[in-house]
Amino acid sequence: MAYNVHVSDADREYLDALPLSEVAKGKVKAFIRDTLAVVDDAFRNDPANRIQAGSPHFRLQLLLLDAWGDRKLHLIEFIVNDEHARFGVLVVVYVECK
Amino acid sequence: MATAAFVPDLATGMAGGFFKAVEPRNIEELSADELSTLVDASAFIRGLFADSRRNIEAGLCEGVEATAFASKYERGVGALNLVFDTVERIVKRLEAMRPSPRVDPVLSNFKALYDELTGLRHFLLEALAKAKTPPAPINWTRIREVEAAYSRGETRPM
Repeated sequence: MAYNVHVSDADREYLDALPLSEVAKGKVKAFIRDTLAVVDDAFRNDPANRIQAGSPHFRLQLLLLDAWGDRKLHLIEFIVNDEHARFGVLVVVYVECK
Repeated sequence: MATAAFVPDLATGMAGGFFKAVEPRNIEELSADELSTLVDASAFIRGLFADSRRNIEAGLCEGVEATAFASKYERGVGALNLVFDTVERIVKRLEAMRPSPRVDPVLSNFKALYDELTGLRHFLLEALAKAKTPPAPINWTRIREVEAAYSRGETRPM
């Protein structure tokens, strides 16, 4: 079952403004839909992916080569609140492109 | 869970067997047919490494989860380094035999293989370094703001 992935307006604007080609931005959205929205419990609960013991947040990072833009590798970090996961909701609370 | 990287594993595996057979031999003593086979085999191995790079690049163009990518390819770098060191030794040996009309075509192919491996290794190390970029300090203020926005119903499903 896929989660509903909530993203704030500020983070949507941040994603839209990333220094990536339009195709690469589409790949970022595809990652949210095809990877983040179907993330498995094992990944979410792996202590290596929790940002702090006991906090309701896990980290998921997209590594992307923008072959249609600057030809560079980009790492996009998503921090996600999963305290509503049992209701089918994940909330992206932080996005950063490195 | 990361799966094995089939094409790179195939390339390093075949290269390992190939160099095990080649390195102890005195290349100048090989027959014309054997030299021709050596040239063809090194070109084939080079093609496998070129395929490996295309394979990895294609995956990265689609986007991959960074930790899975790192665990998938980190051990491959070790195997690639062994191949790289062996090719480097063979190139040096072949260069010491020059000029030789029998050895020159072999040297030319091994240099092309060396260049392919150099590019692949550089690309892979760069990708691994990016994948393993240390996380930035957490901006808890921003996180609390988004969580408050969710509580107020101000976030939307993607």
